[in-house]
Amino acid sequence: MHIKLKSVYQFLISARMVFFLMPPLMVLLIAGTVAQKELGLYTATKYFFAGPAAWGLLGLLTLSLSLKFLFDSAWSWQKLGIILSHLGVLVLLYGGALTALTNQEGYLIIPEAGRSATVLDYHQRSLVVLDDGQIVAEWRADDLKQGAVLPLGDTGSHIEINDYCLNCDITRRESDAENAFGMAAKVKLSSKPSEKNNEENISGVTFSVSGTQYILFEGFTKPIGIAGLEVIYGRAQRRLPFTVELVDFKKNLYAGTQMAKAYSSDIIVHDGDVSWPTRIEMNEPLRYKGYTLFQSNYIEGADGHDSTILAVVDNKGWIFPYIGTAIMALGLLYHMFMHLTARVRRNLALVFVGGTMMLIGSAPTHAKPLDFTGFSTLPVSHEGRIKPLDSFARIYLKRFSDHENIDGQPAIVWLSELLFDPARAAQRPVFKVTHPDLRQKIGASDNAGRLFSLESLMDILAETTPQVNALVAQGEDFSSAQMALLSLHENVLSYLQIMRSFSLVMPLEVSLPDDLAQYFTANDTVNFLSLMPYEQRILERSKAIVADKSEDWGRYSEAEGRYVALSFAQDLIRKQNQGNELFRIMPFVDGERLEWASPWAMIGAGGGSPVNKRNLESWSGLITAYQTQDDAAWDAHVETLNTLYHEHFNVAPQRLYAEKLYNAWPLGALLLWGYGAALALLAFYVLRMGQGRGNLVFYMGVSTAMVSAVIHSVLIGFRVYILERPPVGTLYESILFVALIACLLALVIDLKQRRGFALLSGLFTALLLLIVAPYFVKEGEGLDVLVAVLNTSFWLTTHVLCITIGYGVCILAACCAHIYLFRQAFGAKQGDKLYTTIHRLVIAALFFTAFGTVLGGIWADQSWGRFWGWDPKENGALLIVFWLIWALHGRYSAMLSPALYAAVIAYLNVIVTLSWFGVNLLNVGLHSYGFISGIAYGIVGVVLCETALITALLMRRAKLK
Amino acid sequence: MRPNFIILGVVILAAIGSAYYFQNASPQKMINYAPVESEVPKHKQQLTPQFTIKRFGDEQRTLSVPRDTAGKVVVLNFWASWCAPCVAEFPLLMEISDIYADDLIFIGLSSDLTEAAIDKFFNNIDYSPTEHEWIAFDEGGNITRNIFQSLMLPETLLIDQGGYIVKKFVGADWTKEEMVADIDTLLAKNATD
Repeated sequence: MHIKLKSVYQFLISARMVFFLMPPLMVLLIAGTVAQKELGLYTATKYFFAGPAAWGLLGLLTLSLSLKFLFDSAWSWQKLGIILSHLGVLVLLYGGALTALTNQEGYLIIPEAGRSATVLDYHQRSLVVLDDGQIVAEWRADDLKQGAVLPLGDTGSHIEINDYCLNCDITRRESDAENAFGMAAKVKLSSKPSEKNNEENISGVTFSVSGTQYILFEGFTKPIGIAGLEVIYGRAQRRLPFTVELVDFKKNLYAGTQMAKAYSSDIIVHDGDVSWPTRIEMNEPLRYKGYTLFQSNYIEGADGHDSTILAVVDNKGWIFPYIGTAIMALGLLYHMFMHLTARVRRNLALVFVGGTMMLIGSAPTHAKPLDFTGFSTLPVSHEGRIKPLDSFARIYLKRFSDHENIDGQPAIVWLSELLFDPARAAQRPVFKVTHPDLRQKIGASDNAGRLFSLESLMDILAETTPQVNALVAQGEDFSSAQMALLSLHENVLSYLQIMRSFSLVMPLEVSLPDDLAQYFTANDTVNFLSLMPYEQRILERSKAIVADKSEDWGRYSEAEGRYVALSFAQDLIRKQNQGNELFRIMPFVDGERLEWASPWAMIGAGGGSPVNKRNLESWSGLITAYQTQDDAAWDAHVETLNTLYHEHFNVAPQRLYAEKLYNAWPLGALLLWGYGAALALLAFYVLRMGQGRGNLVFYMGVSTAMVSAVIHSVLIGFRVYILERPPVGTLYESILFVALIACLLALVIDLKQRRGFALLSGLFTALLLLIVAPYFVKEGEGLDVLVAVLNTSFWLTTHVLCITIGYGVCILAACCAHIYLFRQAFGAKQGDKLYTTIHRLVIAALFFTAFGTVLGGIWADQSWGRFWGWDPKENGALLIVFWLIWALHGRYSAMLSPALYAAVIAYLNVIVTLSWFGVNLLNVGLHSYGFISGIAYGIVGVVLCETALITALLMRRAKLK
Repeated sequence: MRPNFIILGVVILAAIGSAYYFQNASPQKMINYAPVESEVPKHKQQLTPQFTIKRFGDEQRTLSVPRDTAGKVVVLNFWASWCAPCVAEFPLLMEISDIYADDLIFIGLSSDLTEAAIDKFFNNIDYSPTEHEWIAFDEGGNITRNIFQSLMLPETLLIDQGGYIVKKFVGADWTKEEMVADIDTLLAKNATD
């Protein structure tokens, strides 16, 4: 018996225990994540992550680690890292258990100038009995089972539950029920399938007291009086020990969009006799008396008075993750350092400095027509960001034509023609039409080009407008031909908006009646804007003329004809430009905010000001200068505009110039060529191994890789500078970043080892990622703004950078493992140094992914008040951590042979792909920034190929043996 | 007792203790509701350009803004007698003007085509400007449109004692309380400065 217990104990504290626990945990994690698609987060969490299986497995893991730490962890410098890591994980597990057992979450809804201390639970519903406003009894939904009998206070009566439905269908009875009170006589409740999100269910209860039936359901907030008491049903409520008053709710939007950049609530906390003001912002919660209040959401009031929604969390274990993370990170870092210190090259910094100098020396020069250099960096507000006109022009020309230049001219030249010479622009073919049905409608022959001018499309556009209106009303499910038609119309609408941006200052080809002409000198331009002061008079005169002489132009005198023509022109221009708001180049002050609007929208919103007067005058000057090809005037107006934007509206010209350079330099293409060349050289070197160090090919490969990595860093640096945020906010950015990390790490390793395997892996990884990266760009260069919760530099920097570095290291380790398996399969000896490299990379990967994942939890805790929400992306990151822990414990416990260990690490590619991209296919969860479509086949391809390849390599190796 | 028991105990106690301490360290983060920093640098954006007006009905007298108005709040109203919302808001502006006779200068710049139209309007409503109320005929919209780019009449600018445009009321959709509160803020701020 003693021996048996001892062997159980030995097993519990062994690495094998963790090795065996990890696979079921991973299965549970994957199943729970996938189940969210069908069951919703709440139910999936209940059954998979808070169910008996999760408690059992995590309980065993906690027991194993506790025993290991308490009885089998003798401190030594060698084991310090491992022991600290285990201790950190233990603290995390204890904290997780404490949170799971005690955590209470809810929310406060407070209107502006209102106050509240009542927290509504997100999920729990309850039936409450009140006596004079005091709670006498309260039962949670779980207690309201059919047939349950509950005492109604001290009245001696009982509540008998007839039925309870989590999601009720409320239907009218065919005839009034007898012995039923109030609504129960008219309607009945019956169960219908639950909503995926538990918050969306409308639950209700049917019950009887002394033979009379009652119904109560969520949303019916009026209590029912029974036997002198009041009974009410709804979201479970808790009282805060203090009251919160909302003074003001503030919403800060990205310029020219409805996309929130940040929210905040100015509140007053009333606690007894003490009141004090404070502010709750995104990621800046208020912690008070054991409660944490977060800015969660808001309700826009119809009268302009908003209500704030504050999440309220009472989590006794909130600090455990912070302490656990710190200890674990320290441990993993130490453990990693123990392996990696010897790898650090003394002269690494010098090498990078050298590489940077090379790049600066070979920086490409831009060759833009001089006239458009300044013009192309004028600012425009587009999709929430101030961009140079150069970017705006490229985005729209690409959208219309699929090209970034047209007729050999850059996009900015096309844009200036569209703005300043619309008549000529309308003749230039820019609209791509490739769909056969649409081409047939246009009457384009097979030999005709793909691009068509606005002029050539006018007839077909007019003819198909009713069809397009019908399609828009229809909503969804369009055929490819319909999509093509809709897309064409949408593009033309955008095109016309840009084209007409300055129609309010474009000279009008009209003759003025004499009594109006007296107000204009010979130098004055007659345009919509200059005629505005006389619009009322023109309209009245015109109406009088038409009333008197109808619309028979033949009866008008010359002066009358001019009035009517003028009125018609003014009216037409105004109607054409209702809603014209695409070309936002006019900043104006609206309260404390700086709004950017199109010239038409600025005028419409009363945004005129002395500064904007000069602004619009300069744009008008550009029109004249363009039309007369007056270079000097053009340059002068561009300079005036640049000065105005910079001095009056805080526009940073250097940032716009940087974006223009970013657009112009073919950094992406350079990178592909650079990495491709380096990869070819390294492959050649590796195949000729054994010819000694110092091989010229090796150094050529390393130098090329270094220069490419520097270009890569410059590319990412540009993005950081332009967007003013860390370079990992979107999926596209994370791919660019991971590619760089993989390459840099491989360079560091191979500068020491000089074997080429690591660099070959890193270059392959980088090249592959850079090839797929463009598929993840929404539009243009993918320089997008972020939603409010992601717009927090500190947590984005720490958590996402860590995770993405982890991805990079994982992929590099997996690629090295592939090479190792190849070499094994083709006869290399055991004891390969590459195996050691792989192991060190795995430890580094574990550090970055584990630390990054837990930091993500801390970010979530700061943002939403919960450390872990079982969001698919979080689970994906955790899956990688579990996989790495499994592999490492398999190696330590000798459950995995070196070849199998390498195979498990090689398969990390699949795990990373699933975690990074695969979870996006579920389309659930908070990490919505990464949602993409059309990648399913790619993921399936990676899974199948990797599985087949690794299996084949293992089989060949076994056969060889 | 094994040292690891002590270590684990200390770590857990430290976690519970620090959680308790941080959650109860109150009141914290006390702030005044200083408005979120404006995106618009005041000194760059909103200084009133210099302009001069002749007093309607007494053209010998001129007022140069902001030079002659320094130290007083200016309500600069762009209006016209043919503009219905302008006519509608005019009595309200006069009420406000009456409240601040000593601290405020009201300027009504008319975009009417003729001075006769202004005269007719004032006769209709039986209005004659008081000393701190300046009505001017803005011939050809020279100031209204060419300096202030005010195109959607009526528009009213609130100019502080230093000559900075602090607020713009577009249209007649504002309340007396709102404008009075803004003027009071400017006067109070000036008093504390």
